[in-house]
Amino acid sequence: MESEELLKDLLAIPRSAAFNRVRYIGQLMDETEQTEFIKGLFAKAVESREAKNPEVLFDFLETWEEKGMAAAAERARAPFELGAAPWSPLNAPINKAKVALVTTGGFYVTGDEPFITDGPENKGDHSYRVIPRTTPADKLEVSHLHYDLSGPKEDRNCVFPIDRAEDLVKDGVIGSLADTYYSFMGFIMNPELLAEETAPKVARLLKADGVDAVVLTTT
Amino acid sequence: MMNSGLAEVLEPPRVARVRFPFGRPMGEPSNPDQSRVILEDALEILETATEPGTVVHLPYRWRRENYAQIRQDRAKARTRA
Repeated sequence: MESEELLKDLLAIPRSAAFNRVRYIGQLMDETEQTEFIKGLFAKAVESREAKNPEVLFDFLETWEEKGMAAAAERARAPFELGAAPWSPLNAPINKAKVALVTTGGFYVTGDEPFITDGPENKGDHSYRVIPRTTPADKLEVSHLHYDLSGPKEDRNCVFPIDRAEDLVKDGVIGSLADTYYSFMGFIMNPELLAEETAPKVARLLKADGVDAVVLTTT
Repeated sequence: MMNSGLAEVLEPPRVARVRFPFGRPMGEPSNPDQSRVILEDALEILETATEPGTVVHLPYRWRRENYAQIRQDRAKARTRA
């Protein structure tokens, strides 16, 4: 087997949540890095056993997963000239502030259009869905082809912390919550449409609603 | 809440950076103590960050923390304060 094929074979991994981040090593890294990963994995497995310490192996895996995610992020932002990080100061302490939730997890309310997760040109979907704060769990659905949905289907709070936000208002940690939240689906191959159309529109809607702060959860 | 690796590249104003698998930014499903702790941390960053591009690395290891204990410790600390 050619070395390139061998590497590809070694890095062919199951499509499950546990492999979600490590997948980028096989997809986005070059041959030298992939070889370094596999050699390191071998060495760390032995080291971990000798030291009777699984953390050695966990740390190694997590470090490489981060490298893989960074490679994916680099690819995603490559077409853009991003300026410095934007900034709006918080105008009220959190226990007085009105907070909204926004997610890129692909949630929508039963009866609304699901996101276009695929299609002939596979450009993703830059649209958004309105999610009323009081949406019951059994009326919230999720469409996204690019992460493992078993988590949010079991409990939305692992991606979209609607119920946790309610708990924090009850306990006085958050001042109040907006009546309307917003959901995007993070697979967007035309991000300029997001940057120019839908993201500013949602920002205007949040502002018009008197929201002081947004907690954005990305998958 | 943002998964590892993306935060430094995309530079949002304030980031609670987690080391959890893709698609689990608030932690494991059906672990309300965990999602509560992560949300509290994110709100604290929102309140305390003073400059754009603030990235705070949350210290939690995937499936290896006792979040009920963390919440108890926080409750005790609040009582003392």
